[in-house]
Amino acid sequence: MQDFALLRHITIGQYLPGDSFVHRMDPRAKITVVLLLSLALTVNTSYLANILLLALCLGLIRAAGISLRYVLSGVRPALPFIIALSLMQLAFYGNPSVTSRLPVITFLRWGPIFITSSGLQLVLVSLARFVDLMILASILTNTTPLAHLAYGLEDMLKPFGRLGVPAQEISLIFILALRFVPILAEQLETLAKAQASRGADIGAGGRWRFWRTARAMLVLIVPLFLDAFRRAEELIVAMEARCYAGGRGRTRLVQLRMGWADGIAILICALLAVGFIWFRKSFPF
Amino acid sequence: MTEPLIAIRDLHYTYLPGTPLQAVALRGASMEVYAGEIVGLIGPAGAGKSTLLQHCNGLLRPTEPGHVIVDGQDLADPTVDLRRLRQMVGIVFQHPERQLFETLVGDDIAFGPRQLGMSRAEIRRRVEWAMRVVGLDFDTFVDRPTAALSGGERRKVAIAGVLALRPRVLILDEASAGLDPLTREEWQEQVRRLNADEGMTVIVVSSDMEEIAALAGRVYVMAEGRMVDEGTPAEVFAHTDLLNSLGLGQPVTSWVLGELRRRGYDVDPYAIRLEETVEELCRILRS
Amino acid sequence: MDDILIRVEDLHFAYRAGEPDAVPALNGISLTIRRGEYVAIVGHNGSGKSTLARHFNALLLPTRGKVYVQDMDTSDPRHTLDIRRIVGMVFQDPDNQIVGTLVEEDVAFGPENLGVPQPALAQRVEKALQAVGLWELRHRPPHLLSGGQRQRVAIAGVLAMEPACLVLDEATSMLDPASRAEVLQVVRRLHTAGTTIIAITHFMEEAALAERIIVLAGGKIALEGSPQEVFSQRERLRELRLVPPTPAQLAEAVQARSGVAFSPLPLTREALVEAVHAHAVPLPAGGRP
Repeated sequence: MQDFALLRHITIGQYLPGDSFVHRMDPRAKITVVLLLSLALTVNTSYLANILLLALCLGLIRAAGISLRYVLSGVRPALPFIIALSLMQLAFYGNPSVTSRLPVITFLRWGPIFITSSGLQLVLVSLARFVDLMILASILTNTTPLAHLAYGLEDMLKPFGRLGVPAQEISLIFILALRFVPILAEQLETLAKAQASRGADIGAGGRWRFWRTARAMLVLIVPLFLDAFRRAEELIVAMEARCYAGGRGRTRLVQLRMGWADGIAILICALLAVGFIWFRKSFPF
Repeated sequence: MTEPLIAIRDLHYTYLPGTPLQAVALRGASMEVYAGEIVGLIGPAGAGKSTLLQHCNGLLRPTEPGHVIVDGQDLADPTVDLRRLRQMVGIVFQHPERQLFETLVGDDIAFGPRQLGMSRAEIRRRVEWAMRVVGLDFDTFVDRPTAALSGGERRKVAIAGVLALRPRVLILDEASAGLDPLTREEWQEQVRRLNADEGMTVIVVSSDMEEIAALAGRVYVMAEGRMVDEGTPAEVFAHTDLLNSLGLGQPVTSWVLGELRRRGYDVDPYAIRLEETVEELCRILRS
Repeated sequence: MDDILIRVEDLHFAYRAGEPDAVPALNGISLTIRRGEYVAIVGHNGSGKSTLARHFNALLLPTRGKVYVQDMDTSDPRHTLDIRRIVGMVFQDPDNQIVGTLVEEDVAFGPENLGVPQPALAQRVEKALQAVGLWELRHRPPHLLSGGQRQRVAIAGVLAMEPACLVLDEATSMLDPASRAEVLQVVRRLHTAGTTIIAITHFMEEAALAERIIVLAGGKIALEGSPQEVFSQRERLRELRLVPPTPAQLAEAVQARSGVAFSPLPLTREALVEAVHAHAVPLPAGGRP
């Protein structure tokens, strides 16, 4: 019965200090690598490619020195929805239009229910992709201080400044949004406890009882939003008081430096990604 | 005295066990609260005060060794009726004004009683009573939008919302932080009345030592997840070295008496009520 | 008058001014703050003290009347950034004013906004963090610091803009006593070093540290003077919903009862002990029996 503590389980976005190779990489290199691998993930639908990619992601997790259990524990609150979604996909999405070199076997066809091996593949591959993306996102955020991610993003967007992309502002918004995640999560926990103390149905149901949970959530969401607005207002005033007047003319304390190891990492991942994309139709199963 | 209303025995608790964010909050904390008492709980930030008190109404459940017994019921028992428990033990958290969610004052205060399925007449009676206790006029405020209230009024509404459950035990977790001096005095008077007139048992957590000295009949000092001192306010606040090492400070009266004793004056270090201190000071003056 | 830092002339302010539901908050305030002064502004909840403070650095602009900072009119937008650099402000909740995810990055936010280039930027950050005693913690994320440390980060963030004046808007009200003492020690050190301090507070023992106290009520100045002058007017204070600090209350009760006259009236616990010591029956040689 640790339903309140669940609210603390936000594994994406939590920086876990460490000194692995992945930790020391330049954030721009990390962003590039993650983008390349995500691209490779999205275009591959075969079992083999996904097994290989999953293995690669697990290897990266090891290299970063983060525990897989910790990354996956963040999925737990979303589990009921993922399972429901997967079951629906499996039951109703048997249309064998998915690219696969395997013969399509129909398991069951009854009314609207249409279960095929191709549908099963789609579900399994989607799940693997979901896990891979979770891992990649966690690696990125667990090994990089958020501000450095934002600075990396800012530097990468800077060339587009002439096209009107406000790189400075985007990175600041990103930093502020992420900085307030733990604060608001804590506030949500306090609110849940306060309302439960007044007899609200929180922490007394179970997380499988969607309707009751949704209804109980209302007594949390209203004050949470009010609190978020109040904080945002105070933050704006505090930023103005510190002479913030938009991104123009700002300087920056932190300067990022790309090393040769970063270049090699990008090169390897680029080759891998290109390989996976190029041969996506050649995997035997 | 008879059986304690709340008995916490050797309680341990760890947040997020088995994760990189694991944090041990309680390491064998024990506390007893008897019916009709006002108990103070002090300790530095991170001592585990809130974690301890959240066990008292089942917001946290004992998972490791240790017992929480409320009104004779062991809360480790999974069949405990949480609704009944939470009605019996009410908690007012820090900044309670941030928990309002209804549009109208009356509705927000009535939320708890409504959840308990009470009759309209009973709900109205409770809302009226709770508003009177916190000093909000029923006719003036009951239909006011909560958004139109001042910060202080919003806080009163939130406290009334907890009182409307008519708990036997009221836990105030830094509930008076940020009040101006006179509002604070009025608030302390309300708490004293709830205790004396309604027989409500009160547990006060506060970083304001003057408030603890003014309200509590007995004080627990907590540090690093366990109790390190217990006694009357006069006794606890005379332990200068312990309080200083925890960064807690002392009420003005205790500090002044202690400092004079250190300089060799024969004053009673336990005379910490304002009138008593004045008397002690006058005693050592040249008339 | 060269040494006047802030000049407020007949300041009126209403929230949603000009609309039917306008809420008047300040009703004709005139005051001056001299360079290097330590002024406390007190008043009950809703007396207008925070609203007044926000006029000192152009976060709010007068509905009527004028506010000048170093002779610059706050309602002239050309001066806004200069004024905010000169008058820095620390707010109540450290969580809602820290922008950076690491201590040093947050402290850099102000000078970054001012466009201070490297290496001057890094020097300012170091100087500011040294001043509040947090240089060793510069690589920590602020949310892992104590409340007092976080508030010192906020002060450092203001100091890095090299202001002439520090406004503390109830900056200690969410802190525990140890953290409060920590912050006040930094504030006193800054004042000694020449920074003008304006402290908005509802802790009377804290207000007693100032050289001058301004009491607000109903958006007007109700009382003004040295802490001794203000806190000896007990009845008037009570009308204004304020109470003197506990040491002053004790001292007055002792005076009334014993006939001893303390001069000046002790306002802090330290001063009370000294005053009692000075008037006490001398101890026998060798101390307590």
